Amino acid sequence: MILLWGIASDGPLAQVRSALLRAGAPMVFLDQQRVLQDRIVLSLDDGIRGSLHTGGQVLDLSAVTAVYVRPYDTLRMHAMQGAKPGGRRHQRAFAFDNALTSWIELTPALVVNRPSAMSSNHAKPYQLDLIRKAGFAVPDTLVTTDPDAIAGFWERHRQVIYKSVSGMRSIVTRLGDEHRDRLHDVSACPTQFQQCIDGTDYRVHVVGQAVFGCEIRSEAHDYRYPHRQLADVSLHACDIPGDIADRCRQLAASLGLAVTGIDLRRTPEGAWYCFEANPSPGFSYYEESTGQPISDAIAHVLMQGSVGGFAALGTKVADPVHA
Amino acid sequence: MLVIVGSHHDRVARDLVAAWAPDAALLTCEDLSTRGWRYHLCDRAASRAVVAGHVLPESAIDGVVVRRLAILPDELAHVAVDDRAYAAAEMHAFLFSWLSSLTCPVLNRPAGTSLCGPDWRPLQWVHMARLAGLDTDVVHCQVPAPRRRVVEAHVTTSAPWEVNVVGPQCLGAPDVRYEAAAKRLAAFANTPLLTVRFHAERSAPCFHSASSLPDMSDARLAQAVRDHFDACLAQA
Repeated sequence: MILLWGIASDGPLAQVRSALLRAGAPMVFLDQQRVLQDRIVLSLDDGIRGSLHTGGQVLDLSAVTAVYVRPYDTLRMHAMQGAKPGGRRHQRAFAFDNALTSWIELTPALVVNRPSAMSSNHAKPYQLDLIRKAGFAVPDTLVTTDPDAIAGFWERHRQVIYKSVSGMRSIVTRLGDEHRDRLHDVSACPTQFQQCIDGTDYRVHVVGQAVFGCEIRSEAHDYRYPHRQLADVSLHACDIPGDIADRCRQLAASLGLAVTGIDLRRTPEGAWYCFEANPSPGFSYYEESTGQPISDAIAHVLMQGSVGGFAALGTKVADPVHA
Repeated sequence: MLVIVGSHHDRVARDLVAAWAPDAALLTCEDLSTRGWRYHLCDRAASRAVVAGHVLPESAIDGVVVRRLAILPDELAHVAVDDRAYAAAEMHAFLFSWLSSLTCPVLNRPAGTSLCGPDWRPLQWVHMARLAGLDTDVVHCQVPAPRRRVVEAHVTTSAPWEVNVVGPQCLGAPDVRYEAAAKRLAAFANTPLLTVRFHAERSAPCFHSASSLPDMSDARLAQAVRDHFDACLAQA
Protein backbone atom coordinates (compact mmCIF):
# COMPACT_ATOMS: atom_id res chain seq x y z
CA MET A 1 0.00 0.00 0.00
CA ILE A 2 1.26 3.48 -0.88
CA LEU A 3 0.30 6.50 1.19
CA LEU A 4 0.18 9.99 -0.35
CA TRP A 5 0.00 12.99 2.01
CA GLY A 6 -0.79 16.47 0.77
CA ILE A 7 -3.54 18.35 -1.01
CA ALA A 8 -5.33 17.27 -4.17
CA SER A 9 -4.54 20.47 -6.09
CA ASP A 10 -0.78 20.17 -5.61
CA GLY A 11 0.74 19.57 -9.06
CA PRO A 12 3.45 17.04 -8.18
CA LEU A 13 1.16 15.07 -5.89
CA ALA A 14 -1.63 15.03 -8.47
CA GLN A 15 0.75 13.74 -11.13
CA VAL A 16 2.19 11.01 -8.90
CA ARG A 17 -1.35 10.05 -7.92
CA SER A 18 -2.37 9.81 -11.59
CA ALA A 19 0.71 7.73 -12.38
CA LEU A 20 -0.10 5.33 -9.56
CA LEU A 21 -3.71 5.09 -10.75
CA ARG A 22 -2.54 4.30 -14.27
CA ALA A 23 -0.26 1.62 -12.89
CA GLY A 24 -3.05 0.16 -10.78
CA ALA A 25 -1.04 0.56 -7.59
CA PRO A 26 -2.91 0.30 -4.28
CA MET A 27 -2.84 3.65 -2.54
CA VAL A 28 -4.51 5.87 0.01
CA PHE A 29 -4.59 9.63 -0.40
CA LEU A 30 -4.45 11.41 2.95
CA ASP A 31 -6.00 14.78 2.20
CA GLN A 32 -4.43 17.42 4.37
CA GLN A 33 -7.61 19.47 4.10
CA ARG A 34 -9.24 16.84 6.35
CA VAL A 35 -6.74 17.37 9.14
CA LEU A 36 -9.48 17.97 11.71
CA GLN A 37 -11.48 14.90 10.71
CA ASP A 38 -8.77 12.26 10.46
CA ARG A 39 -7.54 10.09 13.33
CA ILE A 40 -4.24 8.39 13.97
CA VAL A 41 -3.39 5.73 16.54
CA LEU A 42 0.23 4.75 17.14
CA SER A 43 2.12 2.40 19.36
CA LEU A 44 5.89 2.13 19.66
CA ASP A 45 7.58 -0.99 20.95
CA ASP A 46 10.09 -2.93 18.85
CA GLY A 47 8.80 -0.92 15.93
CA ILE A 48 6.13 1.62 15.15
CA ARG A 49 2.62 0.35 14.48
CA GLY A 50 -0.77 1.91 14.21
CA SER A 51 -3.67 2.92 12.06
CA LEU A 52 -4.87 5.90 10.14
CA HIS A 53 -8.58 6.66 9.92
CA THR A 54 -9.40 8.85 6.94
CA GLY A 55 -12.39 9.28 4.65
CA GLY A 56 -14.18 6.25 6.04
CA GLN A 57 -11.14 4.01 5.56
CA VAL A 58 -8.98 2.46 8.22
CA LEU A 59 -5.41 2.00 7.05
CA ASP A 60 -3.13 -0.39 8.89
CA LEU A 61 0.13 1.55 8.85
CA SER A 62 2.13 -1.69 8.94
CA ALA A 63 0.80 -2.39 5.43
CA VAL A 64 2.28 0.83 4.05
CA THR A 65 5.36 0.12 1.94
CA ALA A 66 5.96 3.65 0.62
CA VAL A 67 4.94 7.21 1.38
CA TYR A 68 4.94 10.31 -0.81
CA VAL A 69 5.08 13.42 1.37
CA ARG A 70 3.98 16.83 0.06
CA PRO A 71 2.30 18.60 2.99
CA TYR A 72 1.65 22.33 3.05
CA ASP A 73 1.49 24.58 6.08
CA THR A 74 -1.40 23.18 8.08
CA LEU A 75 -2.55 26.69 8.98
CA ARG A 76 -3.37 27.26 5.30
CA MET A 77 -5.93 24.46 5.20
CA HIS A 78 -9.59 25.47 4.82
CA ALA A 79 -10.44 23.79 8.10
CA MET A 80 -8.01 26.04 9.93
CA GLN A 81 -9.46 29.33 8.75
CA GLY A 82 -10.27 31.45 11.77
CA ALA A 83 -8.69 28.97 14.17
CA LYS A 84 -7.27 30.67 17.23
CA PRO A 85 -3.57 30.13 17.96
CA GLY A 86 -3.37 27.65 20.82
CA GLY A 87 -7.07 26.88 20.51
CA ARG A 88 -8.69 23.46 20.22
CA ARG A 89 -8.44 23.25 16.42
CA HIS A 90 -4.81 24.34 16.49
CA GLN A 91 -3.94 21.79 19.13
CA ARG A 92 -5.65 18.95 17.33
CA ALA A 93 -4.15 19.80 13.93
CA PHE A 94 -0.64 20.11 15.29
CA ALA A 95 -0.99 16.95 17.37
CA PHE A 96 -2.11 15.08 14.24
CA ASP A 97 0.80 16.45 12.18
CA ASN A 98 3.18 15.67 15.00
CA ALA A 99 2.01 12.07 15.33
CA LEU A 100 1.95 11.46 11.59
CA THR A 101 5.39 13.02 11.15
CA SER A 102 6.74 10.84 13.95
CA TRP A 103 5.43 7.78 12.12
CA ILE A 104 6.90 9.02 8.82
CA GLU A 105 10.30 9.39 10.47
CA LEU A 106 10.19 5.94 12.06
CA THR A 107 8.41 3.73 9.53
CA PRO A 108 10.60 1.22 7.69
CA ALA A 109 8.61 2.06 4.54
CA LEU A 110 10.28 4.04 1.76
CA VAL A 111 9.55 7.73 2.34
CA VAL A 112 9.84 10.34 -0.41
CA ASN A 113 11.22 12.23 1.46
CA ARG A 114 11.60 12.08 5.23
CA PRO A 115 11.35 15.51 6.91
CA SER A 116 14.71 14.92 8.60
CA ALA A 117 16.34 14.42 5.18
CA MET A 118 14.66 17.54 3.82
CA SER A 119 15.91 19.76 6.62
CA SER A 120 19.24 20.73 5.05
CA ASN A 121 17.32 22.86 2.56
CA HIS A 122 16.11 25.10 5.40
CA ALA A 123 19.61 26.59 5.74
CA LYS A 124 21.08 27.22 2.30
CA PRO A 125 24.72 27.92 3.26
CA TYR A 126 24.69 24.73 5.35
CA GLN A 127 23.35 22.72 2.43
CA LEU A 128 25.81 24.36 0.05
CA ASP A 129 28.66 23.23 2.28
CA LEU A 130 27.31 19.66 2.11
CA ILE A 131 27.10 19.98 -1.68
CA ARG A 132 30.70 21.19 -1.79
CA LYS A 133 31.80 18.27 0.36
CA ALA A 134 29.96 15.94 -2.04
CA GLY A 135 32.36 17.03 -4.76
CA PHE A 136 30.50 19.73 -6.66
CA ALA A 137 31.93 23.13 -7.43
CA VAL A 138 29.87 25.79 -5.65
CA PRO A 139 29.87 29.56 -6.07
CA ASP A 140 31.91 31.62 -3.63
CA THR A 141 29.42 32.62 -0.96
CA LEU A 142 29.31 35.36 1.66
CA VAL A 143 26.62 35.81 4.30
CA THR A 144 27.04 39.15 5.97
CA THR A 145 25.67 42.13 7.83
CA ASP A 146 28.65 44.22 6.76
CA PRO A 147 28.35 46.59 3.77
CA ASP A 148 32.14 46.81 3.51
CA ALA A 149 32.36 43.05 3.14
CA ILE A 150 29.83 43.18 0.31
CA ALA A 151 31.79 45.91 -1.42
CA GLY A 152 34.96 43.81 -1.30
CA PHE A 153 33.14 40.67 -2.44
CA TRP A 154 31.52 42.59 -5.27
CA GLU A 155 34.80 44.07 -6.38
CA ARG A 156 36.47 40.66 -6.35
CA HIS A 157 33.76 38.86 -8.34
CA ARG A 158 32.43 41.76 -10.45
CA GLN A 159 29.06 40.04 -10.85
CA VAL A 160 27.24 39.09 -7.65
CA ILE A 161 23.72 37.91 -6.84
CA TYR A 162 21.83 37.85 -3.55
CA LYS A 163 19.14 35.49 -2.32
CA SER A 164 17.57 34.19 0.87
CA VAL A 165 19.52 32.22 3.46
CA SER A 166 16.53 30.17 4.58
CA GLY A 167 14.10 27.91 2.76
CA MET A 168 11.78 30.86 2.25
CA ARG A 169 11.40 31.38 -1.48
CA SER A 170 13.13 34.49 -2.75
CA ILE A 171 13.92 35.87 -6.17
CA VAL A 172 17.58 35.61 -7.09
CA THR A 173 18.67 39.15 -7.94
CA ARG A 174 21.86 40.49 -9.44
CA LEU A 175 23.52 43.34 -7.58
CA GLY A 176 23.48 46.50 -9.64
CA ASP A 177 24.29 50.16 -9.29
CA GLU A 178 20.79 50.76 -7.94
CA HIS A 179 21.80 48.74 -4.84
CA ARG A 180 24.90 50.74 -3.92
CA ASP A 181 23.04 53.22 -1.74
CA ARG A 182 21.15 50.42 0.01
CA LEU A 183 24.03 48.14 1.00
CA HIS A 184 23.83 49.40 4.58
CA ASP A 185 20.39 47.75 4.82
CA VAL A 186 22.09 44.37 5.24
CA SER A 187 23.11 45.27 8.79
CA ALA A 188 19.51 44.49 9.81
CA CYS A 189 19.72 40.81 8.90
CA PRO A 190 22.36 38.41 7.55
CA THR A 191 22.06 38.37 3.76
CA GLN A 192 23.51 35.86 1.34
CA PHE A 193 25.63 36.99 -1.62
CA GLN A 194 27.11 34.71 -4.24
CA GLN A 195 29.59 34.96 -7.02
CA CYS A 196 27.56 35.07 -10.23
CA ILE A 197 28.35 32.07 -12.39
CA ASP A 198 27.70 32.68 -16.07
CA GLY A 199 26.36 29.79 -18.02
CA THR A 200 23.33 27.66 -18.75
CA ASP A 201 20.95 26.46 -16.06
CA TYR A 202 20.08 22.80 -15.70
CA ARG A 203 17.54 21.19 -13.43
CA VAL A 204 18.35 17.57 -12.75
CA HIS A 205 15.71 15.39 -11.13
CA VAL A 206 17.11 12.32 -9.44
CA VAL A 207 14.47 9.66 -8.86
CA GLY A 208 16.02 6.63 -7.25
CA GLN A 209 18.83 5.84 -9.66
CA ALA A 210 17.20 7.58 -12.64
CA VAL A 211 18.39 11.00 -13.70
CA PHE A 212 16.30 13.41 -15.77
CA GLY A 213 18.18 16.37 -17.19
CA CYS A 214 16.48 19.57 -18.22
CA GLU A 215 18.24 22.50 -19.88
CA ILE A 216 16.73 25.90 -19.18
CA ARG A 217 17.16 28.60 -21.79
CA SER A 218 16.44 32.03 -20.39
CA GLU A 219 18.06 35.43 -20.06
CA ALA A 220 16.54 35.91 -16.59
CA HIS A 221 18.77 35.72 -13.50
CA ASP A 222 16.07 33.60 -11.88
CA TYR A 223 14.30 31.63 -14.62
CA ARG A 224 11.41 30.88 -12.25
CA TYR A 225 10.39 34.52 -12.57
CA PRO A 226 11.19 35.42 -16.20
CA HIS A 227 8.39 38.01 -16.43
CA ARG A 228 10.17 40.21 -13.90
CA GLN A 229 12.91 40.77 -16.45
CA LEU A 230 10.67 40.52 -19.48
CA ALA A 231 12.61 37.42 -20.43
CA ASP A 232 11.45 34.22 -22.04
CA VAL A 233 12.13 30.79 -20.66
CA SER A 234 12.08 27.45 -22.40
CA LEU A 235 12.81 24.02 -20.97
CA HIS A 236 14.36 21.19 -22.94
CA ALA A 237 14.99 17.59 -21.96
CA CYS A 238 18.67 16.76 -22.27
CA ASP A 239 21.35 14.27 -21.41
CA ILE A 240 23.67 15.03 -18.52
CA PRO A 241 27.31 13.87 -18.68
CA GLY A 242 27.73 10.57 -16.92
CA ASP A 243 30.12 11.82 -14.25
CA ILE A 244 27.81 14.71 -13.38
CA ALA A 245 24.79 12.40 -13.28
CA ASP A 246 26.69 10.08 -10.95
CA ARG A 247 27.58 13.01 -8.74
CA CYS A 248 23.92 14.00 -8.63
CA ARG A 249 22.97 10.48 -7.56
CA GLN A 250 25.68 10.52 -4.91
CA LEU A 251 24.53 13.90 -3.63
CA ALA A 252 20.93 12.70 -3.40
CA ALA A 253 22.07 9.59 -1.55
CA SER A 254 24.31 11.55 0.83
CA LEU A 255 21.38 13.82 1.70
CA GLY A 256 19.10 10.81 2.17
CA LEU A 257 16.75 11.95 -0.61
CA ALA A 258 14.99 9.35 -2.77
CA VAL A 259 13.78 12.13 -5.06
CA THR A 260 15.42 15.51 -5.49
CA GLY A 261 15.63 18.41 -7.89
CA ILE A 262 19.23 19.61 -8.25
CA ASP A 263 20.02 23.04 -9.66
CA LEU A 264 23.18 23.12 -11.78
CA ARG A 265 24.83 25.61 -14.07
CA ARG A 266 27.32 24.77 -16.82
CA THR A 267 29.81 27.50 -17.63
CA PRO A 268 30.93 28.26 -21.18
CA GLU A 269 34.23 26.58 -20.24
CA GLY A 270 32.37 23.38 -19.36
CA ALA A 271 32.57 23.52 -15.55
CA TRP A 272 29.50 22.40 -13.62
CA TYR A 273 28.39 24.31 -10.51
CA CYS A 274 25.72 23.19 -8.10
CA PHE A 275 23.52 25.66 -6.22
CA GLU A 276 20.91 23.67 -4.39
CA ALA A 277 19.23 20.31 -3.91
CA ASN A 278 15.48 20.71 -3.57
CA PRO A 279 14.11 17.91 -1.39
CA SER A 280 10.49 18.40 -2.46
CA PRO A 281 10.83 19.42 -6.08
CA GLY A 282 7.96 20.90 -8.01
CA PHE A 283 8.83 18.61 -10.90
CA SER A 284 5.42 18.98 -12.58
CA TYR A 285 6.53 22.29 -14.13
CA TYR A 286 9.44 20.53 -15.84
CA GLU A 287 7.47 17.41 -16.70
CA GLU A 288 4.75 19.39 -18.43
CA SER A 289 7.30 21.29 -20.50
CA THR A 290 9.60 18.44 -21.45
CA GLY A 291 7.38 15.39 -21.41
CA GLN A 292 9.86 13.60 -19.19
CA PRO A 293 8.10 10.82 -17.28
CA ILE A 294 9.22 11.98 -13.85
CA SER A 295 5.94 11.19 -12.11
CA ASP A 296 5.95 7.70 -13.63
CA ALA A 297 9.46 7.23 -12.29
CA ILE A 298 8.43 8.39 -8.82
CA ALA A 299 5.40 6.10 -8.94
CA HIS A 300 7.67 3.23 -9.92
CA VAL A 301 10.03 3.90 -7.03
CA LEU A 302 7.06 4.06 -4.67
CA MET A 303 5.72 0.77 -6.05
CA GLN A 304 9.14 -0.85 -5.64
CA GLY A 305 9.36 0.48 -2.09
CA SER A 306 13.06 1.00 -2.64
CA VAL A 307 15.31 3.41 -4.49
CA GLY A 308 17.78 0.64 -5.20
CA GLY A 309 15.16 -1.41 -7.04
CA PHE A 310 14.87 1.20 -9.74
CA ALA A 311 16.95 0.43 -12.82
CA ALA A 312 19.88 2.72 -13.43
CA LEU A 313 19.20 4.50 -16.67
CA GLY A 314 22.24 6.65 -17.18
CA THR A 315 21.19 10.03 -18.39
CA LYS A 316 18.76 9.00 -21.06
CA VAL A 317 15.53 10.86 -21.23
CA ALA A 318 13.67 7.84 -22.53
CA ASP A 319 10.80 6.59 -20.40
CA PRO A 320 12.63 4.81 -17.58
CA VAL A 321 9.62 2.76 -16.57
CA HIS A 322 9.55 1.01 -19.90
CA ALA A 323 13.22 1.23 -20.81
CA MET B 1 36.07 33.47 24.61
CA LEU B 2 33.04 31.28 25.34
CA VAL B 3 29.89 32.33 23.51
CA ILE B 4 26.43 31.73 24.90
CA VAL B 5 23.82 31.80 22.13
CA GLY B 6 20.63 32.92 23.79
CA SER B 7 18.27 35.75 24.51
CA HIS B 8 18.49 38.83 26.69
CA HIS B 9 15.37 37.44 28.33
CA ASP B 10 17.12 34.16 29.21
CA ARG B 11 18.19 34.65 32.83
CA VAL B 12 20.22 31.43 32.85
CA ALA B 13 22.19 32.59 29.82
CA ARG B 14 22.91 35.92 31.52
CA ASP B 15 23.95 34.10 34.71
CA LEU B 16 26.35 31.90 32.75
CA VAL B 17 27.97 34.95 31.22
CA ALA B 18 28.31 36.54 34.65
CA ALA B 19 29.69 33.37 36.22
CA TRP B 20 32.24 32.86 33.45
CA ALA B 21 33.25 36.51 33.12
CA PRO B 22 35.43 37.83 31.62
CA ASP B 23 35.76 34.86 29.26
CA ALA B 24 32.13 34.66 28.14
CA ALA B 25 29.65 36.78 26.21
CA LEU B 26 26.05 36.52 25.10
CA LEU B 27 25.18 36.32 21.39
CA THR B 28 21.61 37.54 20.89
CA CYS B 29 19.22 38.24 18.03
CA GLU B 30 20.27 41.86 18.26
CA ASP B 31 23.81 40.79 17.36
CA LEU B 32 22.41 39.29 14.18
CA SER B 33 21.14 42.76 13.33
CA THR B 34 24.52 44.36 13.90
CA ARG B 35 27.02 45.32 11.26
CA GLY B 36 30.08 43.06 11.21
CA TRP B 37 29.10 39.45 10.45
CA ARG B 38 31.16 37.89 7.66
CA TYR B 39 30.55 34.23 6.97
CA HIS B 40 32.68 33.11 4.04
CA LEU B 41 31.78 29.59 2.99
CA CYS B 42 35.15 29.01 1.31
CA ASP B 43 37.39 31.20 3.49
CA ARG B 44 36.73 30.64 7.16
CA ALA B 45 39.85 32.54 8.20
CA ALA B 46 38.23 35.70 6.85
CA SER B 47 34.99 35.10 8.73
CA ARG B 48 33.86 37.40 11.53
CA ALA B 49 31.17 37.14 14.18
CA VAL B 50 29.34 39.72 16.25
CA VAL B 51 29.02 38.83 19.92
CA ALA B 52 27.60 41.22 22.51
CA GLY B 53 27.96 43.99 19.95
CA HIS B 54 31.64 43.35 19.28
CA VAL B 55 33.11 42.08 16.02
CA LEU B 56 35.59 39.25 16.49
CA PRO B 57 37.32 36.65 14.33
CA GLU B 58 36.00 33.11 14.61
CA SER B 59 39.40 32.03 15.87
CA ALA B 60 38.73 34.04 19.04
CA ILE B 61 35.82 31.74 19.92
CA ASP B 62 36.89 28.79 22.09
CA GLY B 63 33.50 27.24 22.59
CA VAL B 64 29.76 27.81 22.24
CA VAL B 65 26.80 26.95 24.44
CA VAL B 66 23.53 27.06 22.53
CA ARG B 67 20.58 28.05 24.71
CA ARG B 68 17.87 28.22 22.07
CA LEU B 69 16.18 25.84 19.64
CA ALA B 70 14.98 28.49 17.22
CA ILE B 71 14.62 32.17 16.52
CA LEU B 72 11.01 33.24 16.68
CA PRO B 73 9.45 36.30 15.00
CA ASP B 74 8.07 37.63 18.28
CA GLU B 75 11.60 37.97 19.66
CA LEU B 76 12.59 40.48 17.01
CA ALA B 77 11.24 43.60 18.63
CA HIS B 78 13.94 45.60 16.85
CA VAL B 79 12.62 44.52 13.43
CA ALA B 80 9.55 45.99 11.70
CA VAL B 81 6.49 43.87 12.46
CA ASP B 82 5.83 42.97 8.82
CA ASP B 83 9.42 41.78 8.38
CA ARG B 84 9.73 39.67 11.52
CA ALA B 85 8.67 36.29 10.10
CA TYR B 86 11.10 36.57 7.19
CA ALA B 87 13.91 37.94 9.36
CA ALA B 88 13.44 35.18 11.94
CA ALA B 89 13.64 32.49 9.25
CA GLU B 90 16.75 34.10 7.77
CA MET B 91 18.47 34.54 11.13
CA HIS B 92 17.63 30.99 12.13
CA ALA B 93 19.02 29.61 8.87
CA PHE B 94 22.13 31.71 9.19
CA LEU B 95 22.75 30.72 12.80
CA PHE B 96 22.17 27.07 11.87
CA SER B 97 24.79 27.28 9.12
CA TRP B 98 27.27 29.23 11.21
CA LEU B 99 27.04 27.01 14.30
CA SER B 100 27.33 23.90 12.11
CA SER B 101 30.52 25.19 10.54
CA LEU B 102 32.44 26.14 13.69
CA THR B 103 35.51 24.06 14.45
CA CYS B 104 35.49 24.81 18.19
CA PRO B 105 33.37 22.71 20.64
CA VAL B 106 29.66 23.53 20.40
CA LEU B 107 27.16 22.30 22.99
CA ASN B 108 25.06 21.31 21.09
CA ARG B 109 25.49 21.61 17.37
CA PRO B 110 22.36 22.15 15.24
CA ALA B 111 20.60 19.14 13.80
CA GLY B 112 17.42 18.67 11.82
CA THR B 113 15.83 22.09 12.03
CA SER B 114 16.88 22.75 15.63
CA LEU B 115 19.70 25.06 16.64
CA CYS B 116 20.61 22.83 19.60
CA GLY B 117 20.76 19.09 19.03
CA PRO B 118 18.27 16.92 17.19
CA ASP B 119 14.67 18.08 16.82
CA TRP B 120 13.31 14.62 17.58
CA ARG B 121 9.76 14.26 18.77
CA PRO B 122 9.06 12.23 21.95
CA LEU B 123 8.32 9.05 19.95
CA GLN B 124 11.56 9.46 18.03
CA TRP B 125 13.54 9.83 21.26
CA VAL B 126 12.02 6.59 22.56
CA HIS B 127 12.87 4.87 19.28
CA MET B 128 16.44 6.17 19.34
CA ALA B 129 16.82 5.14 22.97
CA ARG B 130 15.81 1.59 21.98
CA LEU B 131 18.29 1.63 19.12
CA ALA B 132 20.97 2.77 21.57
CA GLY B 133 20.19 -0.26 23.70
CA LEU B 134 18.16 1.38 26.48
CA ASP B 135 15.06 -0.22 27.92
CA THR B 136 11.87 1.66 27.17
CA ASP B 137 8.17 1.26 27.86
CA VAL B 138 5.67 0.75 25.07
CA VAL B 139 4.44 4.21 24.09
CA HIS B 140 0.93 4.88 22.80
CA CYS B 141 -0.24 7.96 20.97
CA GLN B 142 -3.70 8.77 19.68
CA VAL B 143 -5.05 11.90 17.98
CA PRO B 144 -7.63 12.94 18.84
CA ALA B 145 -7.17 11.55 22.32
CA PRO B 146 -9.90 9.18 23.45
CA ARG B 147 -10.89 11.49 26.28
CA ARG B 148 -10.53 15.17 26.72
CA ARG B 149 -6.88 15.83 26.07
CA VAL B 150 -4.52 15.24 23.19
CA VAL B 151 -1.71 13.31 24.84
CA GLU B 152 1.38 11.36 24.16
CA ALA B 153 1.25 8.88 26.96
CA HIS B 154 4.09 8.39 29.39
CA VAL B 155 2.33 7.02 32.45
CA THR B 156 4.42 7.60 35.53
CA THR B 157 3.55 7.94 39.15
CA SER B 158 6.54 9.98 40.27
CA ALA B 159 9.01 12.43 38.82
CA PRO B 160 11.66 10.76 36.65
CA TRP B 161 15.36 10.51 37.47
CA GLU B 162 17.22 13.20 35.62
CA VAL B 163 20.74 12.48 34.46
CA ASN B 164 22.86 15.06 32.65
CA VAL B 165 25.62 14.15 30.24
CA VAL B 166 28.34 16.72 29.53
CA GLY B 167 30.90 15.26 27.16
CA PRO B 168 32.56 12.43 29.07
CA GLN B 169 31.03 13.52 32.39
CA CYS B 170 27.71 12.45 33.85
CA LEU B 171 25.80 14.14 36.68
CA GLY B 172 22.93 12.86 38.77
CA ALA B 173 23.08 9.17 37.89
CA PRO B 174 21.88 6.93 40.75
CA ASP B 175 24.39 4.26 39.73
CA VAL B 176 26.72 3.24 36.93
CA ARG B 177 23.93 1.58 34.92
CA TYR B 178 22.13 4.90 34.55
CA GLU B 179 25.35 6.67 33.72
CA ALA B 180 26.24 4.14 31.04
CA ALA B 181 22.75 4.28 29.52
CA ALA B 182 22.69 8.07 29.46
CA LYS B 183 26.13 8.24 27.86
CA ARG B 184 25.14 5.66 25.25
CA LEU B 185 22.15 7.73 24.21
CA ALA B 186 24.16 10.97 24.14
CA ALA B 187 26.76 9.33 21.91
CA PHE B 188 24.09 7.78 19.69
CA ALA B 189 22.34 11.14 19.33
CA ASN B 190 25.66 12.90 18.72
CA THR B 191 24.59 15.31 21.44
CA PRO B 192 27.33 15.83 24.03
CA LEU B 193 25.11 17.92 26.30
CA LEU B 194 21.98 15.94 27.06
CA THR B 195 19.45 15.47 29.82
CA VAL B 196 18.21 11.88 29.94
CA ARG B 197 15.25 11.06 32.16
CA PHE B 198 14.52 7.59 33.46
CA HIS B 199 11.37 6.24 35.08
CA ALA B 200 11.97 6.56 38.80
CA GLU B 201 9.95 3.65 40.07
CA ARG B 202 11.97 0.95 38.30
CA SER B 203 14.73 -1.27 39.59
CA ALA B 204 16.74 -0.82 36.39
CA PRO B 205 17.18 2.10 33.98
CA CYS B 206 14.11 2.55 31.79
CA PHE B 207 14.13 5.51 29.41
CA HIS B 208 11.49 8.18 29.95
CA SER B 209 12.47 11.19 27.81
CA ALA B 210 15.40 13.36 26.81
CA SER B 211 16.24 16.97 26.11
CA SER B 212 19.13 18.48 24.22
CA LEU B 213 18.50 21.77 26.04
CA PRO B 214 19.31 20.96 29.70
CA ASP B 215 18.36 23.18 32.62
CA MET B 216 21.64 24.98 33.17
CA SER B 217 20.40 26.89 36.19
CA ASP B 218 21.89 23.93 38.06
CA ALA B 219 25.26 25.28 39.24
CA ARG B 220 26.89 21.85 39.11
CA LEU B 221 25.84 21.37 35.51
CA ALA B 222 27.05 24.84 34.56
CA GLN B 223 30.41 24.10 36.17
CA ALA B 224 30.62 20.75 34.35
CA VAL B 225 30.06 22.55 31.05
CA ARG B 226 32.77 25.04 31.91
CA ASP B 227 35.12 22.19 32.88
CA HIS B 228 34.35 20.50 29.56
CA PHE B 229 35.41 23.58 27.61
CA ASP B 230 38.53 23.98 29.75
CA ALA B 231 39.46 20.36 29.08
CA CYS B 232 38.92 20.84 25.35
CA LEU B 233 41.11 23.94 25.40
CA ALA B 234 43.83 22.13 27.33
CA GLN B 235 43.84 19.37 24.71
CA ALA B 236 43.94 21.79 21.79
